[in-house]
Amino acid sequence: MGWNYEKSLERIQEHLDGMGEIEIQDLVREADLNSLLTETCCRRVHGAHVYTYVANFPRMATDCAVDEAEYKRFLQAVHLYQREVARIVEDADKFDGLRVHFQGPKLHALFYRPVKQTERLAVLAFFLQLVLKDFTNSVFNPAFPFSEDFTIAGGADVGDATGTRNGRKGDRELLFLGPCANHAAKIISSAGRLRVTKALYEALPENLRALCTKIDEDVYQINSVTQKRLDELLDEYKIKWDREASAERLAEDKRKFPLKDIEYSAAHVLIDLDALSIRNNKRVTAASIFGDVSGFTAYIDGAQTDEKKKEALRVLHAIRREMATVLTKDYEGLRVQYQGDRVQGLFHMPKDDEGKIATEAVEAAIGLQSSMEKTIKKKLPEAKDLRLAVGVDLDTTLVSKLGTRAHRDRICLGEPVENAAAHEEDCEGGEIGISKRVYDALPERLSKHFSYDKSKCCYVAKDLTWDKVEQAERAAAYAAGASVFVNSGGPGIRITGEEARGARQVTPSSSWADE
Amino acid sequence: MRGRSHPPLPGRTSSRPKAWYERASGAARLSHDRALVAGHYPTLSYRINEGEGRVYLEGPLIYVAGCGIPTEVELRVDFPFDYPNGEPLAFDAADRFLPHDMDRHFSTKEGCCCLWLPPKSRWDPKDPDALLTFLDEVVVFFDRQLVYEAGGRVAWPGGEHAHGDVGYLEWVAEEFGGDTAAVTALAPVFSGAVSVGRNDPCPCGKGIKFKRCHAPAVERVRGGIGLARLRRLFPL
Repeated sequence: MGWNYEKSLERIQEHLDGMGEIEIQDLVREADLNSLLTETCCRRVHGAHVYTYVANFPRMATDCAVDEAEYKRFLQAVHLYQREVARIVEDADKFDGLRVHFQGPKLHALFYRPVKQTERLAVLAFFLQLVLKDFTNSVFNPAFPFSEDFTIAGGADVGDATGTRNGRKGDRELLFLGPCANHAAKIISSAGRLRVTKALYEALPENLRALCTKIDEDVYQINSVTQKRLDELLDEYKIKWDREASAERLAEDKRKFPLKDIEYSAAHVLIDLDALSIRNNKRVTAASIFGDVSGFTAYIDGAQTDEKKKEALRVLHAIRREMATVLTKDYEGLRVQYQGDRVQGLFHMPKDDEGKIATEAVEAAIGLQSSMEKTIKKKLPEAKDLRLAVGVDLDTTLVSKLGTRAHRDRICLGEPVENAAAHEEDCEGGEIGISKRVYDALPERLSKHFSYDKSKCCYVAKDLTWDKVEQAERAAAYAAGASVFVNSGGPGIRITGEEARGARQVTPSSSWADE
Repeated sequence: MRGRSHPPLPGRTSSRPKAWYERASGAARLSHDRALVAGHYPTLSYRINEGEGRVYLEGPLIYVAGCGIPTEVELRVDFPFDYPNGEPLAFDAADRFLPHDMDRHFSTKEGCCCLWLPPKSRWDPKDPDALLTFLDEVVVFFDRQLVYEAGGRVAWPGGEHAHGDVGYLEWVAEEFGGDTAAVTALAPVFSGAVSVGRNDPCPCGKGIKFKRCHAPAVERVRGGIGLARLRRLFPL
């Protein structure tokens, strides 16, 4: 285990060799994107992207953990919320959209049918936010009373994005690359606020525009509407959503998945994410890690020709695969999810050993940076301007898999997940941001590379790759005046602190400089 | 006389004296050095400027970390006209370690490496493998540069002397076992202002003969530091 330069180069090359020719075409007719898209079969999809976010799911996941009965109720709530939301998004008689995935508490949905009918797609994105807010307030919260109500925030944009999918069997996820897929998530504000971009606003019919308030140059907020007015508008736009029917389905699900059947447990061995379900959840002390390719949005936006776009996709596939491999093969981690150009991972072994968990996660973070800077850029020089930002935090985390058999999302819920994502977002390319808890749990050989950054509210290491860690470890030997051993006969020079066959012992001189 | 009896080597102008490698002993040394370099630092190669009679050894030093990451540092070694009596100079040829300042132990903007204080030089002209010892020291010096960078350029990894004259004074103090009173007492002797007979009492005041007291240390100091610098270090 552990990151290795040659192994990394080999597997990147192997992946590139087996990738095949990427093709990008316009999506001109309705199709099941889950079946159509592959790593190399990509489509330019005109659509409306919607993100909705249950703002207090993560905190509740942490708060409820102290009481077993409450925690089970929370697990039931999370699963059933997702089931009904998925039905609202995807059922042909409702919104007929595509649930791209749940990123923990965040839903990413896409409307692309009817093809290229921008106004209709914008209308669907507009109403999905209002309907999910109404559903959460008037159906879900009464059915699942907790100490506080769940609240949602949302964002939507419309435009073209390139749809693709990573290529491993049983481990496939859709991905949409394009400004509209990013902006929809980025405009999300505080709980209760539903927002749309200027592009989506301008695509709406007049009477829906009248329900929006301009927030700034590019963002509009959807005003609150009464249930009666919402129902009238849904009728007007022929969108069938019935809150009583939603309530009945939720009640039926509650009967189908009673609290007595919902289990959670600690994990003594590495979690098999695919074995998780509503009945089998894990609650673990874990380090969450997010690695995001900073500069990728600009890179893909700057790719004007199809050839450049194909090149960008090839780079992205290589990066995503390599990031996942570092987490799962080089280190004892789980790849939870790809989220666009970001990967989410989890480390929870050995059980409850914070020191070892933090060390493994941070070592993996250094491995991610090493791959990005040393091997990906060597194999793909066109990625030279891309950098990786990584965030890590550690605490109790809920790990599960949501959804129906055909389409299930791995999720991790808890404050450390949100904190790790926030640290990653606050960091710049080339940086690793870790929480105080992670910092405190690290051995000195790793923690000494991090310093507290007040503006980012976390400990940050910049440009930290594995060779730098090794070099810093040699600093102690040099400081002690110890000899080193130089082995230079082969293709490279290796300097170690321990005697090795064929190596020459060198006791470094005291350096000097003349004035 | 030999220079007159033989035609100049190709590229050599008759106006310059023979370079070290053009003499029989120098040619043999060069041949031996080439074999050393090929065996131990195969990425380096010789370049000879026949017109100027200068020899350079240059190329990448490829450091491979335990994790396999390679780091290249371009090295150039300049050989002096009096090689092997004079020691070579090593340069950070591709400006890998900027700024080339004294805190990083470079003595020129061109990146000339200050491997050691001259009196503590490990260059031994009589050692046929001196070049290998020198290159190993250079390789470790550059590794220390990498370590210095990885540590945020806070502290030079390992031993160092203060810059310039102060470094020499540190060395003189070392040679006198840290006895600063003796150094002060013997300063006029270093600089030649006062001469002491070997059987005279040592100026340090211990009451024993100079030859049995500080004469060896004084000899090392006078051998290690040029008179001009000694007079600057120990003014009358």
